[in-house]
Parts: sequence; C-alpha cells; structure tokens
Amino acid sequence: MKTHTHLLLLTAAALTLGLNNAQAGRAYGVSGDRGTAVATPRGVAWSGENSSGAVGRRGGAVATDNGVAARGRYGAVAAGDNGVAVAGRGGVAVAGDNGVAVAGRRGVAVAGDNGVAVASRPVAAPVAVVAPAHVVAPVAVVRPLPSGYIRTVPVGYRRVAYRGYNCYFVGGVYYRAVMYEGTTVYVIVT
Amino acid sequence: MLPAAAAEPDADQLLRQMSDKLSSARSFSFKAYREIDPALLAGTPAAEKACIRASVLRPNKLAAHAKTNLGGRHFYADGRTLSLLDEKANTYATLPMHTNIDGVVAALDERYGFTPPLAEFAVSNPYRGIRQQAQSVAYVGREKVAAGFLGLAGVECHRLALKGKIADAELWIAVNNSLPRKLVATFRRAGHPQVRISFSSWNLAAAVTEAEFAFTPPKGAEKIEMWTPAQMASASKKVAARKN
Repeated sequence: MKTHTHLLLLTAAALTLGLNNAQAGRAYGVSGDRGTAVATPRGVAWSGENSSGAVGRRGGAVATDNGVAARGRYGAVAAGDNGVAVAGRGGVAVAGDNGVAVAGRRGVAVAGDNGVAVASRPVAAPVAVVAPAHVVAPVAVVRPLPSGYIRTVPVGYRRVAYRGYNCYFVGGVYYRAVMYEGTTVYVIVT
Repeated sequence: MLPAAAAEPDADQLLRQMSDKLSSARSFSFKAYREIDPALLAGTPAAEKACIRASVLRPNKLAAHAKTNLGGRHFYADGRTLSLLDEKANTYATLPMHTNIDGVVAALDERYGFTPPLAEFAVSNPYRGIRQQAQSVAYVGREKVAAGFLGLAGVECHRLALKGKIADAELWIAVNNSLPRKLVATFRRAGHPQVRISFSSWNLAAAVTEAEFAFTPPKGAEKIEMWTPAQMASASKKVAARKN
C-alpha cells in the first residue's frame, strides 16, 4: 500500500501548484490538477489529480490520483491511486491502490492494494473485516482430483463392457463412472 | 438525560432462535441460490452456481434439487435409501440408509466426505451442528439483505460472524421471522475460497408429500457406485503405480 508515500508527495505538489483552494470557515482544501477538494468548517481535504476529496466537520480526507475519499463527521479516510474510501461518522477507512474500503459509523476498514474491506457499524466494539490483498489479480485455485480421475471423459469415446463395468474407451484407456462427493467423476479401470 | 442505549442482541441466542424455529417445523421447504468457488470443488476450474429447492419431512425425509451451471443434481433420502442423480451424466447412485436426517448427514460426512446441499439447516438441531464448526459467534449489526424482484425488497437482518477452524462465516438472520437469509463462508486456505448462499421462499408449513422423497431412476440412467475417499485413494495409488 503506497498511500502514505502518495500523501507526502501529494501535499508537496499541491502546495506548490496551489491551483485550487476551497475554504469555508477554518477549513482547508487543496487539490492538484483537475482535482476537487471540498472541506466544510474545521475540516481538511487533499485531493490528487483527477481525484475527489470531501469531508464533513472536523475530519480529514486524502485522495491520491484518481482516488475518491468521502467521509462523515469526525472520521478519517485515505485512498490510494484509483482507490475508494468511504467512512461514516466517526469511522476510519483506508484503501490502497485500486482498493475499496467502506467503514460504517465508528467502524474501521482497511483494504490493501486491490483489496476490498467493509466494516459495518459496531454495536459494542468496532469490527473490521479486512480483505486479503491480491498481488496482481485474483488467482483461481483448483483442487485437483486424485491421480487417475477426471471430471469429463475425452471426446471420441466408445461405450464398451470391460471387466464387468460399463466403460468409456478412448485413447487406449478404459474409464468408468463413479459418484464421488455427490457428483460423477470417471476413473481409469486398471 | 440521554436515552438508554439499546442492549446488543445476543448472537448465540439469535442462532438458537433460528435453530429452534427450524427444529420445530415438522415439514418445511425453502429455496437457495448457492455459489461455490472452484477451489472447493474437485477437478473443475469453474465456480458452481446452483439454484436449490429443498424439502424436509422430519424425522427422516430430505430432498434437494439443484439446477447448476455444471448440470442438475438431485438428492433423495426417504428413511430407507439414499439416492443421488447426476442429470448431466445421466448417472445415479443408491445406498441403503435406514436412518433419520441426522444419520444420513453424519454417514455421508464420515464415509463419503460430503454432506447433502444445505443439510446444516435440515438436521434436528442446526444450532449444535453450527456450533461444532464455529468456536465463536459475534453480533456484527443489523443490515438489509436484498430480496424479492431484482433484490429491491430488502429484508432487515441480524448479521452474525462465526469463527471456525477451517472457515469463518457470516450469517444473516431475518429480524421478522428468525430464519436464515444469507450465509457467506470463507475458507482458511489458499485463495480464500468462499461458499455464498442466499435463502428465500421459506415455508415452515409446507404441504410436502412422501412421494417427493421417493426416487425413480430416469429412463436410460446408469447406476454407478458411490465411492468413499478411501476407495478413491486406493484406486488412485494403483493408477499411479501403473504409470510408474
């Protein structure tokens, strides 16, 4: 997650550029090129290029390039590049690059790069559900059948009787159907 | 003076209420939409998406019909025999099973390494079964679960978090009738595969008949053996030995 690094770079860039300043009362809003920063009284908002940062009273929202950060009162959010972070009142949401983090009222949600985290409003204590970060993209893990078993018989088989079984003969191999874990698989007849 | 905060619902008690409600129904039916990630299925890279219709007649009858993207499957237990039909392969297996629903679930789990679809909610004491899997149950909060046409009719639910040794789960129980609406189980293994289930059409006074649990093989269907994991492992060794 590069959010904190982006935050420092962004602050420096935004102060240098000084392109936009949305202030209301004692609020401060700073945004980069084509960014939007909106801060209501006593709030602070930073946004990077093409990004949006919006805060209610007394909080902070930071969105780096193409990120979106929005929060209710007293909360805090930070979103990395292309990340989305949304926090309800008193909530905290942090999303890494391409991550999504949503925190309900007084909840805490943290999502790694490409991760998704959602924390609902806690009743007694804050509950956070932190999603694992995918490094590049979700990887499909396939549980293999044991050696000699296949899910589907190869095309071009012939139905034959072999060793007392109704078999499927293809490629010099005899297969027969058995029910395994509630579904049909095919085993090589030895 | 501030109003007193509402007491947090007891997650374990909510689970018991759900269980009691299901236990007390002699005959009931429900529907479910279930998705299973491929890492939980043997030998296929595709997730299984199934629309399941289940009927229960206590103490010993259970039928589940699943229309899946991998083909239709049907499960029948009538107190004397257990039958499984794989529509796509047009194969079926039948076993003698003189026992009640709990016995069927236990026998299949112990001997054959699987349980009937959604059987956790059909056994005589769902609470006991769920608590055997979950070391802790916590109340997360209230939220609406999509229901009805296009999911537009949200159902207010209690959301529970269950922590287990092999999987963690979240269970949504409807506030108005204490019946399960949604279950998401995340397994503690590579890829964090999930099972996601949405429940609907609960009918705790369903007029189910004994005929619904009787299995008649379709014309041309082939009867095949049901294999245990031990049989499979043994045969697998033979195949591996022959290759070497």
